[in-house]
Amino acid sequence: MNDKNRLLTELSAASFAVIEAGLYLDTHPNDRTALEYKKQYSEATDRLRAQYEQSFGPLFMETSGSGDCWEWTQTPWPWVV
Amino acid sequence: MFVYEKRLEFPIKIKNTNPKLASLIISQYGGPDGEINASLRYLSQRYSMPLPQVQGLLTDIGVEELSHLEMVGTIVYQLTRDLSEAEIRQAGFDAYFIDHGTGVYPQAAGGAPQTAMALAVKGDMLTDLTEDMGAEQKARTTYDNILRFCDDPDVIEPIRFLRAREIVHYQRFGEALRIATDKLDERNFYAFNPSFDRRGRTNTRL
Repeated sequence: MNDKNRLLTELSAASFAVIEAGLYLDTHPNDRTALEYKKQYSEATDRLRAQYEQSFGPLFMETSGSGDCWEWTQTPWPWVV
Repeated sequence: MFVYEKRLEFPIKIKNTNPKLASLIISQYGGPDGEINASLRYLSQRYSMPLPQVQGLLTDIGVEELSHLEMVGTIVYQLTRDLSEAEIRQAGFDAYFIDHGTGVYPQAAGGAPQTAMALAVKGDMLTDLTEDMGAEQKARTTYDNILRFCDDPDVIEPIRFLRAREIVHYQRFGEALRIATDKLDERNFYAFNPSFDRRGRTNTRL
Protein backbone atom coordinates (compact mmCIF):
# COMPACT_ATOMS: atom_id res chain seq x y z
CA MET A 1 0.00 0.00 0.00
CA ASN A 2 1.43 3.39 -0.96
CA ASP A 3 1.51 6.46 1.32
CA LYS A 4 -1.63 7.91 -0.24
CA ASN A 5 -3.70 4.77 0.27
CA ARG A 6 -2.36 4.26 3.79
CA LEU A 7 -3.29 7.80 4.80
CA LEU A 8 -6.68 7.48 3.09
CA THR A 9 -7.37 4.25 4.99
CA GLU A 10 -6.44 5.90 8.30
CA LEU A 11 -8.64 8.90 7.49
CA SER A 12 -11.54 6.63 6.48
CA ALA A 13 -11.25 4.66 9.73
CA ALA A 14 -11.17 7.77 11.95
CA SER A 15 -13.97 9.47 10.06
CA PHE A 16 -16.06 6.30 10.17
CA ALA A 17 -15.67 6.17 13.96
CA VAL A 18 -17.11 9.71 14.03
CA ILE A 19 -20.13 8.70 11.89
CA GLU A 20 -20.75 5.61 14.01
CA ALA A 21 -20.44 7.50 17.31
CA GLY A 22 -22.63 10.29 15.97
CA LEU A 23 -25.50 7.91 15.16
CA TYR A 24 -25.13 6.27 18.57
CA LEU A 25 -25.20 9.68 20.27
CA ASP A 26 -28.38 10.60 18.38
CA THR A 27 -30.16 7.99 20.50
CA HIS A 28 -27.86 8.11 23.58
CA PRO A 29 -27.14 11.86 23.92
CA ASN A 30 -25.91 11.66 27.53
CA ASP A 31 -23.45 8.79 27.18
CA ARG A 32 -20.20 10.38 28.40
CA THR A 33 -17.99 7.54 27.20
CA ALA A 34 -19.43 7.90 23.69
CA LEU A 35 -19.01 11.69 23.81
CA GLU A 36 -15.34 11.26 24.74
CA TYR A 37 -14.85 8.63 22.01
CA LYS A 38 -16.46 10.88 19.40
CA LYS A 39 -14.31 13.85 20.45
CA GLN A 40 -11.12 11.80 20.19
CA TYR A 41 -11.96 10.56 16.67
CA SER A 42 -13.12 13.99 15.51
CA GLU A 43 -9.70 15.35 16.43
CA ALA A 44 -7.97 12.47 14.66
CA THR A 45 -10.16 13.02 11.56
CA ASP A 46 -9.31 16.74 11.44
CA ARG A 47 -5.60 16.00 11.75
CA LEU A 48 -5.63 13.24 9.08
CA ARG A 49 -7.75 15.34 6.70
CA ALA A 50 -5.31 18.24 6.93
CA GLN A 51 -2.38 15.88 6.42
CA TYR A 52 -4.04 14.24 3.40
CA GLU A 53 -5.00 17.53 1.77
CA GLN A 54 -1.49 18.89 2.21
CA SER A 55 0.09 15.92 0.40
CA PHE A 56 -2.55 14.71 -2.06
CA GLY A 57 -4.87 17.58 -2.86
CA PRO A 58 -8.17 19.02 -1.65
CA LEU A 59 -11.02 16.88 -0.32
CA PHE A 60 -13.47 19.80 -0.45
CA MET A 61 -14.26 22.45 -3.01
CA GLU A 62 -13.93 24.89 -0.16
CA THR A 63 -10.29 23.98 0.45
CA SER A 64 -9.42 24.11 -3.27
CA GLY A 65 -7.91 26.98 -5.21
CA SER A 66 -5.33 28.13 -2.71
CA GLY A 67 -2.49 27.67 -5.25
CA ASP A 68 -2.06 28.79 -8.86
CA CYS A 69 -4.49 26.28 -10.37
CA TRP A 70 -7.85 24.71 -9.63
CA GLU A 71 -6.68 21.39 -8.10
CA TRP A 72 -10.27 20.27 -7.39
CA THR A 73 -10.63 18.70 -10.85
CA GLN A 74 -6.96 17.73 -11.27
CA THR A 75 -6.76 14.93 -8.72
CA PRO A 76 -8.62 11.65 -9.48
CA TRP A 77 -12.24 11.20 -8.40
CA PRO A 78 -12.83 8.59 -5.73
CA TRP A 79 -14.50 5.98 -7.96
CA VAL A 80 -11.49 5.89 -10.32
CA VAL A 81 -9.22 2.91 -9.64
CA MET B 1 -27.23 21.86 2.75
CA PHE B 2 -24.81 19.26 1.56
CA VAL B 3 -21.07 19.47 0.97
CA TYR B 4 -19.18 16.90 -1.08
CA GLU B 5 -16.09 15.27 0.37
CA LYS B 6 -13.93 13.83 -2.37
CA ARG B 7 -13.45 10.30 -1.02
CA LEU B 8 -15.52 7.16 -0.38
CA GLU B 9 -16.81 6.23 3.06
CA PHE B 10 -14.97 2.90 2.63
CA PRO B 11 -12.14 2.60 0.07
CA ILE B 12 -12.91 0.43 -3.00
CA LYS B 13 -10.32 -0.90 -5.45
CA ILE B 14 -11.59 -3.75 -7.60
CA LYS B 15 -8.87 -5.27 -9.80
CA ASN B 16 -10.98 -7.65 -11.94
CA THR B 17 -14.10 -6.72 -13.88
CA ASN B 18 -17.27 -8.84 -13.57
CA PRO B 19 -20.25 -7.43 -15.51
CA LYS B 20 -22.58 -10.25 -14.40
CA LEU B 21 -21.99 -9.40 -10.75
CA ALA B 22 -22.41 -5.68 -11.52
CA SER B 23 -25.86 -6.39 -12.98
CA LEU B 24 -26.86 -7.96 -9.63
CA ILE B 25 -25.24 -5.39 -7.32
CA ILE B 26 -26.90 -2.51 -9.20
CA SER B 27 -30.08 -3.39 -7.30
CA GLN B 28 -28.58 -1.69 -4.25
CA TYR B 29 -28.11 1.45 -6.39
CA GLY B 30 -31.62 1.82 -7.79
CA GLY B 31 -33.59 -1.26 -6.77
CA PRO B 32 -36.56 -1.28 -4.35
CA ASP B 33 -34.36 -1.55 -1.25
CA GLY B 34 -31.38 0.27 -2.73
CA GLU B 35 -29.40 3.13 -1.26
CA ILE B 36 -31.08 5.97 -3.18
CA ASN B 37 -34.48 4.86 -1.93
CA ALA B 38 -33.08 4.58 1.61
CA SER B 39 -31.68 8.10 1.47
CA LEU B 40 -34.87 9.55 -0.06
CA ARG B 41 -37.02 7.77 2.51
CA TYR B 42 -35.17 9.15 5.56
CA LEU B 43 -34.41 12.63 4.25
CA SER B 44 -38.08 13.01 3.22
CA GLN B 45 -39.51 11.66 6.47
CA ARG B 46 -37.61 14.26 8.53
CA TYR B 47 -40.03 17.10 7.93
CA SER B 48 -43.05 15.57 9.64
CA MET B 49 -41.10 13.84 12.40
CA PRO B 50 -42.09 15.65 15.61
CA LEU B 51 -39.02 14.88 17.76
CA PRO B 52 -35.83 16.86 17.05
CA GLN B 53 -33.74 13.93 18.23
CA VAL B 54 -35.33 11.64 15.63
CA GLN B 55 -35.15 14.37 12.97
CA GLY B 56 -31.41 14.28 13.66
CA LEU B 57 -31.17 10.51 13.30
CA LEU B 58 -33.10 10.57 10.00
CA THR B 59 -30.79 13.31 8.72
CA ASP B 60 -27.59 11.52 9.72
CA ILE B 61 -28.64 8.10 8.40
CA GLY B 62 -30.10 9.70 5.23
CA VAL B 63 -26.73 11.35 4.59
CA GLU B 64 -24.79 8.14 5.26
CA GLU B 65 -27.02 6.39 2.70
CA LEU B 66 -25.81 8.88 0.06
CA SER B 67 -22.26 7.78 0.84
CA HIS B 68 -23.43 4.19 0.36
CA LEU B 69 -25.06 5.10 -2.96
CA GLU B 70 -21.66 6.38 -4.08
CA MET B 71 -19.99 3.17 -2.89
CA VAL B 72 -22.43 0.95 -4.80
CA GLY B 73 -22.07 3.13 -7.91
CA THR B 74 -18.29 2.79 -7.60
CA ILE B 75 -18.50 -1.01 -7.33
CA VAL B 76 -20.73 -1.20 -10.44
CA TYR B 77 -18.45 1.19 -12.34
CA GLN B 78 -15.26 -0.69 -11.42
CA LEU B 79 -16.80 -4.07 -12.29
CA THR B 80 -17.76 -2.86 -15.78
CA ARG B 81 -14.83 -0.70 -16.86
CA ASP B 82 -12.89 -1.35 -20.09
CA LEU B 83 -15.15 -4.18 -21.26
CA SER B 84 -15.03 -5.63 -24.75
CA GLU B 85 -18.19 -6.47 -26.72
CA ALA B 86 -17.32 -10.16 -26.37
CA GLU B 87 -17.10 -9.88 -22.57
CA ILE B 88 -20.43 -8.04 -22.48
CA ARG B 89 -22.12 -10.74 -24.56
CA GLN B 90 -20.54 -13.59 -22.62
CA ALA B 91 -21.58 -12.17 -19.23
CA GLY B 92 -25.17 -11.54 -20.30
CA PHE B 93 -24.61 -7.81 -19.73
CA ASP B 94 -25.89 -7.08 -23.25
CA ALA B 95 -29.50 -6.25 -22.29
CA TYR B 96 -28.33 -3.60 -19.81
CA PHE B 97 -25.70 -2.34 -22.27
CA ILE B 98 -28.31 -1.68 -24.98
CA ASP B 99 -30.00 0.99 -22.85
CA HIS B 100 -27.16 2.31 -20.68
CA GLY B 101 -23.80 1.28 -22.13
CA THR B 102 -21.44 1.04 -19.20
CA GLY B 103 -23.10 3.98 -17.45
CA VAL B 104 -24.49 3.48 -13.95
CA TYR B 105 -28.30 3.69 -14.09
CA PRO B 106 -30.55 3.39 -11.01
CA GLN B 107 -32.43 0.16 -11.61
CA ALA B 108 -33.20 -3.16 -9.91
CA ALA B 109 -31.34 -6.38 -10.76
CA GLY B 110 -34.40 -7.42 -12.78
CA GLY B 111 -34.21 -4.23 -14.88
CA ALA B 112 -37.08 -2.20 -13.36
CA PRO B 113 -36.05 1.45 -13.05
CA GLN B 114 -35.79 3.14 -9.64
CA THR B 115 -39.20 3.98 -8.24
CA ALA B 116 -40.45 5.86 -5.18
CA MET B 117 -43.27 3.30 -5.11
CA ALA B 118 -40.87 1.14 -3.12
CA LEU B 119 -40.55 3.63 -0.26
CA ALA B 120 -43.03 5.26 2.06
CA VAL B 121 -43.42 8.61 3.78
CA LYS B 122 -46.62 8.25 5.79
CA GLY B 123 -46.46 11.37 7.94
CA ASP B 124 -46.96 9.34 11.12
CA MET B 125 -44.08 8.92 13.58
CA LEU B 126 -44.74 5.28 14.51
CA THR B 127 -45.58 4.18 10.97
CA ASP B 128 -42.51 5.85 9.46
CA LEU B 129 -40.09 4.45 12.05
CA THR B 130 -41.56 0.98 11.65
CA GLU B 131 -41.12 1.33 7.87
CA ASP B 132 -37.49 2.32 8.44
CA MET B 133 -36.75 -0.77 10.52
CA GLY B 134 -38.29 -2.95 7.81
CA ALA B 135 -36.34 -1.10 5.12
CA GLU B 136 -33.00 -1.74 6.86
CA GLN B 137 -33.81 -5.45 7.13
CA LYS B 138 -34.81 -5.62 3.46
CA ALA B 139 -31.53 -4.00 2.47
CA ARG B 140 -29.64 -6.40 4.75
CA THR B 141 -31.34 -9.39 3.09
CA THR B 142 -30.45 -7.98 -0.34
CA TYR B 143 -26.77 -7.73 0.67
CA ASP B 144 -26.98 -11.29 2.07
CA ASN B 145 -28.26 -12.39 -1.35
CA ILE B 146 -25.56 -10.43 -3.19
CA LEU B 147 -22.85 -12.07 -1.05
CA ARG B 148 -24.05 -15.50 -2.22
CA PHE B 149 -22.85 -14.58 -5.72
CA CYS B 150 -19.55 -12.87 -4.77
CA ASP B 151 -16.22 -14.64 -4.71
CA ASP B 152 -13.92 -11.66 -5.21
CA PRO B 153 -12.53 -10.32 -1.89
CA ASP B 154 -12.24 -6.83 -3.49
CA VAL B 155 -16.05 -6.85 -3.78
CA ILE B 156 -16.92 -8.88 -0.68
CA GLU B 157 -15.20 -6.44 1.73
CA PRO B 158 -17.16 -3.29 0.82
CA ILE B 159 -20.43 -5.30 0.49
CA ARG B 160 -19.89 -6.71 3.99
CA PHE B 161 -19.29 -3.19 5.27
CA LEU B 162 -22.58 -2.01 3.68
CA ARG B 163 -24.43 -5.02 5.11
CA ALA B 164 -23.12 -4.27 8.61
CA ARG B 165 -24.34 -0.68 8.32
CA GLU B 166 -27.89 -1.92 7.67
CA ILE B 167 -27.79 -3.79 10.97
CA VAL B 168 -26.51 -0.73 12.87
CA HIS B 169 -29.15 1.53 11.28
CA TYR B 170 -31.85 -1.01 12.20
CA GLN B 171 -30.63 -0.89 15.81
CA ARG B 172 -30.67 2.94 15.87
CA PHE B 173 -34.19 3.10 14.37
CA GLY B 174 -35.34 0.59 17.00
CA GLU B 175 -34.00 2.91 19.69
CA ALA B 176 -35.70 5.88 18.01
CA LEU B 177 -39.01 3.98 18.06
CA ARG B 178 -38.54 3.34 21.80
CA ILE B 179 -37.74 7.03 22.39
CA ALA B 180 -40.85 7.93 20.37
CA THR B 181 -43.19 5.61 22.28
CA ASP B 182 -41.74 6.78 25.63
CA LYS B 183 -43.24 10.17 24.83
CA LEU B 184 -46.71 8.79 24.02
CA ASP B 185 -49.65 7.59 26.11
CA GLU B 186 -48.54 4.06 26.96
CA ARG B 187 -52.14 2.86 27.31
CA ASN B 188 -52.81 3.81 23.68
CA PHE B 189 -49.88 4.76 21.42
CA TYR B 190 -52.37 5.41 18.66
CA ALA B 191 -54.59 7.90 20.51
CA PHE B 192 -53.42 10.58 18.08
CA ASN B 193 -50.91 11.02 15.25
CA PRO B 194 -48.00 12.90 16.85
CA SER B 195 -46.76 13.98 13.42
CA PHE B 196 -50.10 15.65 12.61
CA ASP B 197 -52.44 16.29 15.54
CA ARG B 198 -51.64 19.47 17.42
CA ARG B 199 -51.79 19.72 21.21
CA GLY B 200 -55.12 18.57 22.58
CA ARG B 201 -56.45 17.47 19.20
CA THR B 202 -57.21 13.79 18.63
CA ASN B 203 -58.70 11.68 15.93
CA THR B 204 -62.20 11.23 17.35
CA ARG B 205 -63.08 8.46 14.89
CA LEU B 206 -60.55 5.98 16.33
